[in-house]
Amino acid sequence: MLKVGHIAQMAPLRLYARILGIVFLVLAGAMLPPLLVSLVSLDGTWRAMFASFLLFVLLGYLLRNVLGSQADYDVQGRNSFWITAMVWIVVPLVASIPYLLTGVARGFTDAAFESFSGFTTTGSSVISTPEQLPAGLLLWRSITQWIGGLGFMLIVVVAFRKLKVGSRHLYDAEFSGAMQPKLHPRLAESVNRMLRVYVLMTALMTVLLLLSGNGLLNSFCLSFSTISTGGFMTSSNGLTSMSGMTLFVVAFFMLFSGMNMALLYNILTFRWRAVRGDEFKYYLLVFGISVVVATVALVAAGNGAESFCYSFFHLASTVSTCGFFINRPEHWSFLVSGITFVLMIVGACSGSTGSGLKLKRVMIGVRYVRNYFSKIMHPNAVFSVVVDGERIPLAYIKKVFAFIFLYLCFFAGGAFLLTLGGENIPDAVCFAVSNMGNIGPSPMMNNLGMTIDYAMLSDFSKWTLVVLMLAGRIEIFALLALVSPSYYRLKRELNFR
Amino acid sequence: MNIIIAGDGEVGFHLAKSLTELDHSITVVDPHSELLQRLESETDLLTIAGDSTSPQVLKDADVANCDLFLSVLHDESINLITCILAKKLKAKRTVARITNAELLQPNHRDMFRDLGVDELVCPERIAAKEITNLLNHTVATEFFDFSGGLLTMYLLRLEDGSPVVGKSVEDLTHVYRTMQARVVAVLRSGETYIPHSDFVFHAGDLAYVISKPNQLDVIKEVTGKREVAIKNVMIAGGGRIGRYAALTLQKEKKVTLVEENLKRCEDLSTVLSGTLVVHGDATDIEMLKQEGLMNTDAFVSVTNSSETNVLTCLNAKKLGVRRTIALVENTGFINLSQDIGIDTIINKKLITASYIARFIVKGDTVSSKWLSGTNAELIEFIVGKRAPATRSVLADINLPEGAMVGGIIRGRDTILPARDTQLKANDKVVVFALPSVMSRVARLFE
Repeated sequence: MLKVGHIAQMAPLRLYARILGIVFLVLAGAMLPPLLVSLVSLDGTWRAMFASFLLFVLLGYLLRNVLGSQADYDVQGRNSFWITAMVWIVVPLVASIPYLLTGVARGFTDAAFESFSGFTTTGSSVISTPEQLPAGLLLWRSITQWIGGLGFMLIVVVAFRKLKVGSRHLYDAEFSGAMQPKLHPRLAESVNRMLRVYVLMTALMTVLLLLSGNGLLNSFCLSFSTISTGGFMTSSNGLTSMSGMTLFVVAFFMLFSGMNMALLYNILTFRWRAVRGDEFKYYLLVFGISVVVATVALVAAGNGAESFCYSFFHLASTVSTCGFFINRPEHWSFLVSGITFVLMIVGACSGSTGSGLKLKRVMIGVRYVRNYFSKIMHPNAVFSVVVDGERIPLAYIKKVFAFIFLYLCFFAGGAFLLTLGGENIPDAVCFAVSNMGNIGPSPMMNNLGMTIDYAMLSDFSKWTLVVLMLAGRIEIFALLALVSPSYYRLKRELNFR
Repeated sequence: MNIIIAGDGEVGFHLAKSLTELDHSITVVDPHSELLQRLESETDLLTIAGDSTSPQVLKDADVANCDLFLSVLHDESINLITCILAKKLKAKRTVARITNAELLQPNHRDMFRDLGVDELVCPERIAAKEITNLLNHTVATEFFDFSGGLLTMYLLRLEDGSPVVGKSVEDLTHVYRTMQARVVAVLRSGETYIPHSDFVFHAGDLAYVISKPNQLDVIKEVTGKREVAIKNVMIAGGGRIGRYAALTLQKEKKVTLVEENLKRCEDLSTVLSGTLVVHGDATDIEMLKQEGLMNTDAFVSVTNSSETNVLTCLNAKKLGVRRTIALVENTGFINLSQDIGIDTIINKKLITASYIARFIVKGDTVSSKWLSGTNAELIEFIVGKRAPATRSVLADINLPEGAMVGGIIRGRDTILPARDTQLKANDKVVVFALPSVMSRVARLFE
């Protein structure tokens, strides 16, 4: 017989409540600027925004100070996945309320889709004409990406100094594949530094956008979307109507956002000697080669000098998994579609706000397979997978392959479910890859040649995509832990002995 | 010169013996008292049994009056601490033997100098360098540069059918006019000969040749030796020597490294990105064949066991590998190994001694090379202002039997000695000398 006490023991509910409470209070804080904007711009939504704000504060207070008042701060490794997954599911669900209350979304599914798409930094939108959105909500939408780009666990680590060892588990659960270089011996300080990089990049970009002649609201929305590699845009035709200078700034910051945060920290603090590494090198190499090939392909197809600018912007948007688009050149080359598709799967650098398989995993996978073939030729030889001069332990390589396999499963399964939801195969495949890679709108535009309105999808397809987005953002393992029966069995065995 | 050597075995002893022959006052500090007793009975030096990291032991060795302090134990951290202590106790110059080549980086060297360690010697690194040099120039069995390459010593093995075999030095005088090189000594079945005019060369002789730069082509023609292009190298033994050698060789050649220890193989495969690291026993000939022993141009055996090294090299030679290099730690085996056909023997003790000798600057010697297979030495002297050797032409300076002047460096010019050559003060001379006459030779040039 399960007793209440046992449940509390099995899952430290008080701690869950406290963590959720903190996140909601942070959301409430994040709600303030949109609320202010909606008050100033008189778009008539301030009541809805205020109600959402109150709800967040209330929920936050209730969870943090009442339910979670005597939390036990002992997070064990096996709970960390659970906490991560739970926060990532509950918070976006509740945070969809502003979309509902303002009446922008046509129903709960649409609201949730928009909210999940924001927090997972995907940028797929059910709102076909963002220019008609109330200003406050436009800002809220961008802010959700910005918070999502940081990651909830990062917020938790900053907020809970008491967690100590536990915070390491939570952090690892969210960035499960990254093998992060630590910026500081203390995790809280490393996270603080990453936070500073994130804020500084956003500030820098906003200033540059303002200088390029964009409005205040637009600049903020755009830089929140870029730095988080989100991809929500403020206009239905993407960034096509923006000035050349704006596109230039956006392209470069997209490229930066796809890099490892620790590397960005070294760049921003002028530690040039530390700015190196295999992944960084290959990131630039892959990007550079792709741009050259795409440019040549587009020129060969009969376009002019705009081929280069388009390739640069479009591929920066793809490798960083940001997902902005601009109108494609008059004559299309399917080679560019192919490159885009591959880059969508590969994704950005580990430890960045971007998603996808991550370049580091691809590198490890490729090197391991290469060694595998060499081993056939030289059965006695010993090969190591070396990244940045360090040997990658076999246990980690196994994890990488497990991840790649799961990624494939989710991709195939997702595409299958989407066909059940009524999409045809090319659409389904494209949707699955781009949403699982948290890229969002751009590939549709470029691969299928049209802006696809997510609002037209069936509810079933929308929820499938939500799951894929989430899997891509929290790197599958945490999500699987939530639904894995053996995981519960393990917990029970450990706690009811 | 007062020299203190802190050691724990062969390297220190070898160094001590060689330096005693050069008329230096040597004190050996070593933890093994029985070994020291034997050393003292064989050589004229002072020994102190004890731990070199103890300040009292160092004081007993009269460290305050020592001109050169050498710490050559196996453990590099002991060497570093010993040198730091010795320097604090007023030793003039300290040299530490190290095993980790990372410490040799220029920015690290300054740090050690500040700490009191003046020079660092890494025998493994030097041995590896020697291996790579030998594989890049295959005509010579050994070679050594004096004065930054103004003079070079080559050791050449005279094969059957070489044009010089059966000829005497006198027969070759016409050759000497065109060839800017001199034979200073010949090694034959473990005996060292100074080649005078009636000396006849035999097949299998090892000839020490001192040469001006860029003479290799002429030497090749005269001796009938051919350069072998080395493209594939197989190294047995993944210790430090093997690792350092592979690190340099892998840039230009295809390198296969065989190592017995799996853990070490994994480390090696991390560091050596261009090398094929094979896990296996170097004596497993079938395995070596499978990994392409038949197609390698050079086989280098540097495992911990001298016997394995000699035997695997012989086997490789038998299978047609053109160049073999073996690490032999037992100095007694060196002659034997060269007699049975291994091309080059690497010996860490000799290498360390040669290298350390460059620190013994008494105003007159600049560099020296201990020759493997013989206890003789090639020394570079700076001729003193009032040296006896400057008083007459070379033929009349009474150079003792067992010594020969190989070359003279005057400013940036190189002179090969003839009977009527006149030495001047501040010339550098490269002299070949047997240990028995070493001190007399030194007196001539001081």
